[in-house]
Amino acid sequence: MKKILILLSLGLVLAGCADATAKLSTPNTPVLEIGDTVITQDQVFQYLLSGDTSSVIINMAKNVIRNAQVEITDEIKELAAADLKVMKDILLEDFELGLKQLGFSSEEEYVERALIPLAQQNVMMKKYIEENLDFVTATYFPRRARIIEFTVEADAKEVLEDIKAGGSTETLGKENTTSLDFFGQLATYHRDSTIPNSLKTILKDANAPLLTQEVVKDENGKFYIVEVIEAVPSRFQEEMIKSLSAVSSLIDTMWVAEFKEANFAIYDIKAYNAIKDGNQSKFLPSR
Amino acid sequence: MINFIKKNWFIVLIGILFVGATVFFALEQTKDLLPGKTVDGKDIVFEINGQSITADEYYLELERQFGIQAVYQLFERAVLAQVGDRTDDIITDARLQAESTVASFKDYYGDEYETFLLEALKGVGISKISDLHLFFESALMLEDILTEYFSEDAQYNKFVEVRKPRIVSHILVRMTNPNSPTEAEQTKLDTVKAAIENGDDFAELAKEYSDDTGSVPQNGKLGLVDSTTQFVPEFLAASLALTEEGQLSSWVKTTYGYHIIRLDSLSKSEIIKEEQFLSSMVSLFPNAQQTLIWNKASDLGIKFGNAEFEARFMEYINSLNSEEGDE
Repeated sequence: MKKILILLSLGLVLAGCADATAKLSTPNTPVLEIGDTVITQDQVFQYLLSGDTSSVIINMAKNVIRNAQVEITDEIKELAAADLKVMKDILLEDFELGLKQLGFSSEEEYVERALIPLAQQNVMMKKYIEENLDFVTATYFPRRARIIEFTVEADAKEVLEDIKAGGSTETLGKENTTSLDFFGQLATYHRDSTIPNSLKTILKDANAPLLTQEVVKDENGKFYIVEVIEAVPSRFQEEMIKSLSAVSSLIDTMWVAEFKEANFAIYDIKAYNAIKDGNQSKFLPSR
Repeated sequence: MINFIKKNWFIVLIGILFVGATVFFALEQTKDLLPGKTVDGKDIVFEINGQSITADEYYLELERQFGIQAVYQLFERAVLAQVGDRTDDIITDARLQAESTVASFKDYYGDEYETFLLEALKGVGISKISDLHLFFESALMLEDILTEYFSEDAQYNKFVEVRKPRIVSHILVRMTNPNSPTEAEQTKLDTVKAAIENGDDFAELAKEYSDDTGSVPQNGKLGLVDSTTQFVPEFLAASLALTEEGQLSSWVKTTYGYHIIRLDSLSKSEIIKEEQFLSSMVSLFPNAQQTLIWNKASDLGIKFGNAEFEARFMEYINSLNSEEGDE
């Protein structure tokens, strides 16, 4: 009878269990005392947990993977230093203000917490693209192309005829358009490039170099000439990798794969819910 | 034992079924629960690539990114809890404000209001809707303390010198084109002018004739006006030019029509009761809240957990105090 009662008690105890919550090892450590009130680490912790902590968790997890996969070598530091120089050249005297707006208290912190991780991520992206080339090229259809944009159809038609007659797309583009984005420069385009959908269709369908035989009109009333220079990604792999390494959807795909491979597991219900509710659910392990 | 079972087989059978059902129920309740994990006695928040991140490490990273602001909010609440007067009125008002906030969210978001309200409360460190009234209690106690501080001569006299505060009322005769009033508009203007000259009660005239629907319910009263009030320049200038209580301006033409303005009060005891008083003072003394809270905390006694945290906290306090006021 005693054993039956013990089993019943055990059943009831189990029924009262809840999702796990990770606790601090020294929750009552005072952070600040004012008069007769002590603010403890746990009180600060609970306050912080009431906010959106999903990005903190995901970034901490990414740091673990980054540091395991990509050592911070001198080369990585040089890449970070190069990016720092680019930022300074763009922001000039507003650089310090820009740092503060990004939440960094110093240049050193910015390099350590943003630029070095970015350089590490680029190394990881290169590896991911090389290992998943078929999937990446099929999904993103990268192409090397020249695009010229016009606001007047007649101008576009005239330039197109000149190109067909043997003129240089690059030269004619520079001379005949005021567009700052599409002036015939050679660039890598892909599924997520900021170009009209009609041009994406042309690029996707191109399996070999081509020149559009008619001027293309987009949904916003502008006119385009497209010259596909290279449609086989393996022939411009370096440019492709550089371009696709900055594509946020592909970066996400890479990280989701890394999290899965690294057996990401969560042992705290608030952290789980934060990730789920903070639009980071793609990283969640299945329950 | 065997004899017992043979004799009471039915009871034993029921007992076994009951135990089985209990265990099954317990397993059903726990199967979807998130399991916890500890390593070397420390709770783990997550694990990746074989590396465990403890709650302590998680806390350190959260604290590094957001901790000072969080501690400051808790610091302010702790000070208010000790120096503020948690009157019955404050408790009641806070509860009403909380209920009103919940009702507003329900009206706007329907059944999903809790999700949106909790999201909004994240920014002020509240994780339960049932704690919303505590937030309003703190806010109301802070208002009382600030009003008391701003009412002190040092602050109030500067306010008067820099901003020229007063309580005013007006009557508006609206016109489509004030440069060319319609017959009806002119007639109305003439009627109001005559009534004013006749000494009729201003408040009654405002109630009857004013076309400013916002102030008509208060008999034309606009409340506290000072040099930063966002009125059209002609109206503001006329309001600030009045010097004696009860004085009327001349008729002021603006793009809305014609106004006549009355200076209702220059009295400190009335001005500090106006709802615009606090916001106006805060814009003149943007550091006041932080300075006041810090001074009261100092009186209570402050002790930091460690020197590094103290340095970061004081840097934050100093950054809050570095804002300049609008004069």
